Amino acid sequence: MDCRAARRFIPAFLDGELQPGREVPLKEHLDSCGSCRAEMVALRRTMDAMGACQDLEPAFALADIKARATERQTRRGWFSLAPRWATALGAAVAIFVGTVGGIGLQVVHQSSTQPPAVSRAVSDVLGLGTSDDPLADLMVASASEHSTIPGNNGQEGRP
Amino acid sequence: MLAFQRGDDSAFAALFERYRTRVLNTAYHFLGDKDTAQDVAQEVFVKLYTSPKSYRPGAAFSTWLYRITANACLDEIRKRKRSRSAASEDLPECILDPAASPEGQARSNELKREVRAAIAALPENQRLAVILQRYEGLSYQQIADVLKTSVPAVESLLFRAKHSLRARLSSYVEGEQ
Repeated sequence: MDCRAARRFIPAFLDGELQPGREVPLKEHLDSCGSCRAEMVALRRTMDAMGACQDLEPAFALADIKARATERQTRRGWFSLAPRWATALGAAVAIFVGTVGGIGLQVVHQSSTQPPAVSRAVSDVLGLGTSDDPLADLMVASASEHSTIPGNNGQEGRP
Repeated sequence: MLAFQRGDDSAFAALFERYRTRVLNTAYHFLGDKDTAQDVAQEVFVKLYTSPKSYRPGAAFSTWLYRITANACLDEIRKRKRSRSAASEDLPECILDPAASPEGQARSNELKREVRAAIAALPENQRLAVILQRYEGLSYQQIADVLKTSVPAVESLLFRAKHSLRARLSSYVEGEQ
């Protein structure tokens, strides 16, 4: 095992997550390489330093959750009780304001790649997110990161 | 969770007691802001309470809950970016050794502040992987389940994250004995 591979496997080794079959070659390398041993010590110290951060104590109780839930459901209830024509009119106004405002802002900020601010504001008011699963979006967007790891000639991601 | 889905309200209370600190601290380490973390954690449980059917048996409940929490944190970050109201960067506090000298405490405090800043500077996916591994004690397989990715991909994320943390903190950790 060379230094590049050893350094790739050191974090998993310290986490006790190194795949079987890699531990012996890594240990042999560490026995003979002071530089990689120093790297492992520095990484261990870094992880140790992370371990001292204090946890927060919850400042909320079950009653707070139920109160919020009730309030949320009541708000939804009022919305559902509104006449259908009022709901449709409200939605149409929101879309109109968002579209017109968005076009206006687009003209003013031709170079902007952000979604129109008014549309975003309308979306926020209506409680709509940009995605139901932003974590999935994030992982897709960063998929290319997983395919390679620096310093390993693109072999990583499947060590 | 299945009992709560069947209408057993006491099952929700048990889930709440068991997971509220974990949810809160995942949000806290991810967002770096106490008040926002408290609010996001409550929203996670409100969602759980009002939409119990959104959990489908098959995935471990804790895996699903961590994913909901991560999504709530990401939503919060998106909101912050949209409103351009930068977070107060109230980075999580770190424990000081009361036996240490004032100089030692100051240095220790500085290091830990730097650690928190280094975590906050990581890309979101790496930050989440590090938090789940280092603070929540999840295995690589469990992290892969939360992120819906592979174990090698998690290994890759953690390698990158720890490489960044170690590089940023080198001046602190290399001077220690």
